[in-house]
Amino acid sequence: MKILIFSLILSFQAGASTIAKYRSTPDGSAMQKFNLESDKATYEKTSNLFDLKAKNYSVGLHDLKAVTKEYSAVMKEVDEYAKKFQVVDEFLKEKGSGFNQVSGIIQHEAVILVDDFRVKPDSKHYAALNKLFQRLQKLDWKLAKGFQISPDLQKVMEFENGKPVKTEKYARDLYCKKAQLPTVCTLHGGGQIYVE
Amino acid sequence: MKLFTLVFFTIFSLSAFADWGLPRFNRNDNSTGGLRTVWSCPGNRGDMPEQREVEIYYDENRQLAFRPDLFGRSMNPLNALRSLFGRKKDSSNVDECLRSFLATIPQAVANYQEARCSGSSDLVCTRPGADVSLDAGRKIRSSAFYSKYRENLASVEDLLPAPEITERPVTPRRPEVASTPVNNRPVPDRLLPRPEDNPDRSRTRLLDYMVDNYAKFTDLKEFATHCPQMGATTGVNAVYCRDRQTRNNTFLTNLSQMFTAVRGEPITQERLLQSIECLPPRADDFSDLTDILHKMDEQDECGALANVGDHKLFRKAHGGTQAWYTSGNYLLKRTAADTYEATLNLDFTNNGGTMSSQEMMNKVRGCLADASQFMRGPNGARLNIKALSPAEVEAQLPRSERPLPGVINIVPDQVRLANGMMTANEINAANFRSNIDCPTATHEILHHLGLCDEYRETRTNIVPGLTRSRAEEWSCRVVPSAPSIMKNQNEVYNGAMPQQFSCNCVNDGCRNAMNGTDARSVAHKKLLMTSSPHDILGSLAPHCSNPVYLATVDEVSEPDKAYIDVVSRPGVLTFQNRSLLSDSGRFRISRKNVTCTCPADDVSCPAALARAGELIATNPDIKECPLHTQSTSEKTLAPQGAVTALNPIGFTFVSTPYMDSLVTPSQFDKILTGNCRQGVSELYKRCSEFSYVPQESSACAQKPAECSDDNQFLGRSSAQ
Repeated sequence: MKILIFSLILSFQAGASTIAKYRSTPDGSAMQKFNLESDKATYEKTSNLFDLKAKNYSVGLHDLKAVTKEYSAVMKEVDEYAKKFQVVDEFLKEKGSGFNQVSGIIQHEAVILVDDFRVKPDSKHYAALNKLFQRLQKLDWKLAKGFQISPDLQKVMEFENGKPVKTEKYARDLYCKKAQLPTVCTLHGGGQIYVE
Repeated sequence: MKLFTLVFFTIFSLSAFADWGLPRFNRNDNSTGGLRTVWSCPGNRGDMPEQREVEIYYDENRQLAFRPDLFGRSMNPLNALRSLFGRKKDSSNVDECLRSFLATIPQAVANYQEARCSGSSDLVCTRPGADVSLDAGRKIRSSAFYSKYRENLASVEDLLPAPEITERPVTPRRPEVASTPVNNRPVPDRLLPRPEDNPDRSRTRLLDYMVDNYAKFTDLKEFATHCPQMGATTGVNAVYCRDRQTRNNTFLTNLSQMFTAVRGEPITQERLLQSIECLPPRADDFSDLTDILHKMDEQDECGALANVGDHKLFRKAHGGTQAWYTSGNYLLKRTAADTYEATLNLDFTNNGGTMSSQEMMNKVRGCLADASQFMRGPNGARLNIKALSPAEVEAQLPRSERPLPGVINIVPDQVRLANGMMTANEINAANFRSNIDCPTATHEILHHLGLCDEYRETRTNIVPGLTRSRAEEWSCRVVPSAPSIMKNQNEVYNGAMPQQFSCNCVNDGCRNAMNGTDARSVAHKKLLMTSSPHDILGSLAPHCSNPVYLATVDEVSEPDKAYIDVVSRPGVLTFQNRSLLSDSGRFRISRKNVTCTCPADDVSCPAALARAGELIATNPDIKECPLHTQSTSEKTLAPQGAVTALNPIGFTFVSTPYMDSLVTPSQFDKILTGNCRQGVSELYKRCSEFSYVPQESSACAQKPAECSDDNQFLGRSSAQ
């Protein structure tokens, strides 16, 4: 019975991890986060800062179109990291500290978050995790809910259920930090778009 | 021929060693000191220990040197070995010999200084013995001798200082990537080299090491549970325990060294031996960690600078998030009755930027020289901010006055994102672009002096979500409604010192307006030189819904006003904004109605929005080149008498000062008193501790109510 419960706990733990990339600046916070489950996944973007595709001025929630072998392989590796970080965190918690306390203060560097554990760029694990992050970005995602600004910064389009539902004029002098390009723009309600 | 060569070299070598058989004390009057150390090296092959002696001095370049020059770059390692052990070439005892040598130095220095150093400023007379020993270790580490016999020097390794980085990498260190799956990586079982001196880097190394060895934590627990009970000194159990013991001890030693590095104190021999010799890990083996993470610097930073010439050295606290943000590394000196000098040790490092370290240093010094003229405190006190490079600090300041260096990377002006797009690189206290302007450089330098940001910030502290997790935001921060250099540096620069910058038109609409003298052109110029909504609203802009656009027109009432119909009520701001649209070579007027509404749970928003409403109603001047123009010069301190001037292709803008100082009385006093709870800035410091705390946290409830009173927070009530 104990083995059964243990296996259930393990399978539950292995089936849900998150990996995110995060950077905070005075211009706001840029975050892209994958919520990984064994049978589905979502990709949350508050910024295009870490995009692999150029001139994609959109933020929002994306759904994974299909669970593939590549997805499962990446998810397994993310789970393994999460498990290790958990062990170290538990040890440090016994000593009145924690993984993130040792990891230290984030200033303006882009960090990777596995579950809630922060991995800074000077860690030897950063590059491997970044690669996993980029492999997830390359999967087939669909913008389910969010916003997209046109490349000329004239229009903003709102998406619901994967389709555009509203198009409005975009107030560049209200939402963009500088008049000259490149600049950083935002949207009503948040988001952070890097514009070239 | 071979025989001849052999004989020739043998004779040559022997003659070269005529002075060398054994090192002899040989005073040379050119030396700046004359410190002699005597120590014993173990004899070879069972011989009795033999005494050695060497002179230590600092040369004209203030570098430590030995006479005989055992560890000089040109010294053949074999010759040095012979000098230490006679003509026998046995290197097996070299570690013990050098350990003995290094251990002898501090006492020898103390004896020498007591006997020979009255009034002398020679380095051998002024440097602590431990430092001389470290210098000697550094010299040994850089020698060919060390390279050749490194493997025999294991026990000396911990006495040597960390290797010096002679050339900084231009790009950040690429983390090592394991090609094997994460769970199949070999677990390191070797002693690691001594950690780096940088506590932040050491933290990361410590964490990486623990992650790589995560299975060891289980090992340690099992070992602690089983081995003491076994109690066997022979047989299988003993072998098992010895094996585990060895592996665990290596692990513990590595951790111990790294914890020590994070703490920033030298590892003690006792501590090392404890790790190496103790069998099961003791309960307190990691008790250091709590200290390391929570230790505050215990410095005497609170003494008053009563007399001209007095100084104190501030150190950045690593004991917690708030302490880290509110402290800095700098030397503060009273240079006259009413004048202070804050000296920073700035290590500008080119990291892909278009400016050399020296060029950036010159630029920042220029900014600080201008800014220092406007750094005025209560009662007319003045503050000069000075930047030195690490080499200048070393050369110009005695050890007791040397601030720790702050590394600032010179980064590219633009950076390519992963998707190939170019974007402006970010500027912050640790990263400067070559095109950084003086207001921003000064704001960032003030972080190095322990001042915190005071602008409203939506950034999150730890983990944000797409659905904004307000609990993570730094919303507890005190944001004064009055201008402050830590909030809006451009506004304060324009307000405290006349700023000049030039902008050229990029379209005909702009050029025609500049050339026109009719009423419409005059109004267009005024609109062009009024701040944009984003300039005023900043991080509040996302609270404004998409504006409602009215028809674009040629004429409006009150044509020189960019903002009309400004209505402000608690948590809501509405206004009409007029902006210029270049259409077929002339300007037309685009109008939009804007409504900004604070989210119900954002308690700091209403006050900030009200302040923005007040500003908007004044139609404030630009702080940077506006839309339709391009910047042609950096912002500089305007020459006396300069005024805004138009020309056919653009304009040069000059701001009109209305403030007394670039810093408020409490900011000025904070720099003078650090984190000591005293002076005009006592409340400011208490309030600053909430700069990086979310509104909803229990800590935020402790924020003093007076923080929201601008006059008290900024120290104006007591100063003016």
